Amino acid sequence: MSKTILKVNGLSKVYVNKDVFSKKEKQFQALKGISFEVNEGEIFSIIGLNGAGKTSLIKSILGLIKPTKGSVEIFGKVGVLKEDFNFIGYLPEISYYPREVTLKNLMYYYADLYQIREKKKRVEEVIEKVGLSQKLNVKLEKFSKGMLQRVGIAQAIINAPKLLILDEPMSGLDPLGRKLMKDLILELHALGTTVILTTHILSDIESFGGRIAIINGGVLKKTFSFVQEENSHYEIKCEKLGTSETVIVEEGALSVKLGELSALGLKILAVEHVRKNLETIFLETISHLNVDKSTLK
Amino acid sequence: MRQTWAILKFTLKENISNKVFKGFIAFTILILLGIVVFKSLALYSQNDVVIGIGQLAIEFFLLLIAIFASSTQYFKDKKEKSIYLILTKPVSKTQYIWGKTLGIIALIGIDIIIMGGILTVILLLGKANLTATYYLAYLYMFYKLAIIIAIGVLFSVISDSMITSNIFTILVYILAYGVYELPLLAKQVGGGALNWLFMTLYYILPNYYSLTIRDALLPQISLHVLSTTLYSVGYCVIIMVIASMIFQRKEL
Amino acid sequence: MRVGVKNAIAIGIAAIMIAFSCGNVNKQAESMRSLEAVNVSNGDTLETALARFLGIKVAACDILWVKQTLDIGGMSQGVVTPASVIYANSRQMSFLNPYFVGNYYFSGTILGMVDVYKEFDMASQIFQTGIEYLPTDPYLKNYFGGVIAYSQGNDAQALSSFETVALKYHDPTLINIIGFLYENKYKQTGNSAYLNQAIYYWKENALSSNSYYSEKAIEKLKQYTNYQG
Repeated sequence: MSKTILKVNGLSKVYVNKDVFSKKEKQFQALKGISFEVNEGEIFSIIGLNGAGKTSLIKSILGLIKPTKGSVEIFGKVGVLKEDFNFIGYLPEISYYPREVTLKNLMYYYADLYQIREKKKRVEEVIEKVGLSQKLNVKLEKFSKGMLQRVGIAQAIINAPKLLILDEPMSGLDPLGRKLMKDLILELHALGTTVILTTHILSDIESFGGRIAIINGGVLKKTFSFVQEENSHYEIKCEKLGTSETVIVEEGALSVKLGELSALGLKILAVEHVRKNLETIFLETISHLNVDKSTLK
Repeated sequence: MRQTWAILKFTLKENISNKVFKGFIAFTILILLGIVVFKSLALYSQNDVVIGIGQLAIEFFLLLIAIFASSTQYFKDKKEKSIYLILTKPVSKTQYIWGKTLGIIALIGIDIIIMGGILTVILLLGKANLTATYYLAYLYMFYKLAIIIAIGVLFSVISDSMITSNIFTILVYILAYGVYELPLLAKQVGGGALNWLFMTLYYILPNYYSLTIRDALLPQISLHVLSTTLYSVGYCVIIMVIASMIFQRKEL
Repeated sequence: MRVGVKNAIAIGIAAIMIAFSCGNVNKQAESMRSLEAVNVSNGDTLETALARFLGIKVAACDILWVKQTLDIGGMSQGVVTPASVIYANSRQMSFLNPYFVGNYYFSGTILGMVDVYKEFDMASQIFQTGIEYLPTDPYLKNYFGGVIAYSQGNDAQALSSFETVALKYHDPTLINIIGFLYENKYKQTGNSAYLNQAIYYWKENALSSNSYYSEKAIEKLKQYTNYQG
């Protein structure tokens, strides 16, 4: 059984804004009692609308902000210490790199912060991985948005982290870049790296497998394991005495149900195999729209 | 320690490569060359005119860089979220703040060497007689700017606004020249809160009067370089420790 | 707010460094403060007080010096700056930097000797301040003496005072004045010995790096000799 690498317990965060002149306090609760665990070696995706609380959650996990209530356990202990960051890699949602330095100088800087010994070799390895080898001595002002995102990924993996946290990693990437990113995530996962990522692009995480958490309005709505086959069913359109009905049947129960309906004298008009994608699950979860399963049985 | 050094080096590199900064330095050098025009306008003591105005120009322009860089660095990093890229590495907040501050101080130090060097060459070509006080004035200028950088960083972590941080830093710079007037003011107001305020400021403000030897009327003044060094370093350390203690508790 | 051991040690050491050194830092400041001018009448204006407060008195004095040179130099273009302005510039310079001897030499001599001014009281005050702050200056007393003698109509005594210092200090203003006095004496008496002396000093000024005085000297040399140079 895998070890728990991250445990979030009842995390709440209230932002308080004090107006200097009116002295009024404005409070905004970004996170409301979130709890979940992430096991070592898994890919854990967090999805939610804009303003759902994903970034606040990530910041709380990384100790960048102090939660109002609750706790975070990383590597088996409460809170995150400076030394823990030797094993953590982080890509923020939006990050800025100084434009007038070269990629090489920037990556050497990050390597120095990690005190990586053979930094030249490691930097070249990582830059090769993200497909920027030709740009090592180029100033960052000449980089496109997608290239800068790859720089971000490079700095996140330079220390070969055990836990990799990616906030919107696909942002700004073209289709080739996204494929490269997906392959990289899967490669790291195969090597045993635990990956936590937040994203809006639901289609990308369908292919990762792994567990998914849906957050909305600061609340953790659902945590589940998305496997394509588990999210499909059959819809049987049938007719009796001029009245048509639709019967929903789970995977594996089709033939039995067809037999039952025929025995009842219903005429089978059509059988449709419906695959529920992640977007559907997501929208259903956040808007409480459920498919009505109380059908004729 | 290594991380502090890495942040120092990178802050230096980042600022030196910055186009705005380069433009500013080029502008200051042009001003220094332009001061040579003053030389031709003055009837006597042309070299003294170049020294007086030249050293003031260097200090003034570097002061602008020092105040702006120190009191806005933290806000800039936070706005651009580049601070997250540092604090999610094995770097403590203390190392971050020290590294950034020392980087800006190193930058100013290098600028003083470049600009002071240019002014010195201009003066030596003009056959000026340069005293020890002239050269030490640069060292003391560096100490003053290092102190104001530390103060700028302190205000940037206390304040929620870049503007108030800048304003308070400039205010401290100005008041620090008038430390000797503060006991006189305290005497004038008699007892009470104002008296207490003036006397407190007298004790806590840095003694910029003593550090401004470029404004000494004669070169033959009583100079205590070691004491001035200890004073300046001690002052910077206290300010930086307070700044890092406040920054430790600050939410990003 | 908990201080922490490392922070407490750092603050402690820094405080000791400051306590150890602030005595000498104050001594340094005192040695600078003791040089500042006191009681320079008409010198302490709002601007000069502010310049002192902000630690820019030397640079402010330099800027005023350039202004003074330009104000007086305007005479070559027919623009005569009022004596009160020249006097005020000088007093402010004295307040900012009482050890700048050029101010006394130039301002006092111009106010005392130039025909359009002849403000001997103002010149006298300027020189007296100079002597107060620079009692050992080798030339100031000669400048002052020369101006007093001229104010009393004693050109010979004035020339004697000025000539003692003119070629030692190489002041083009003073040399120009000596040339002017000798030229006057030549015009009054017709004695060519005076003209020869004037020519001698004009030749000296013709080589001056100051273009105003060298041009004036060359003009005079061309008027009285076959000067080609």
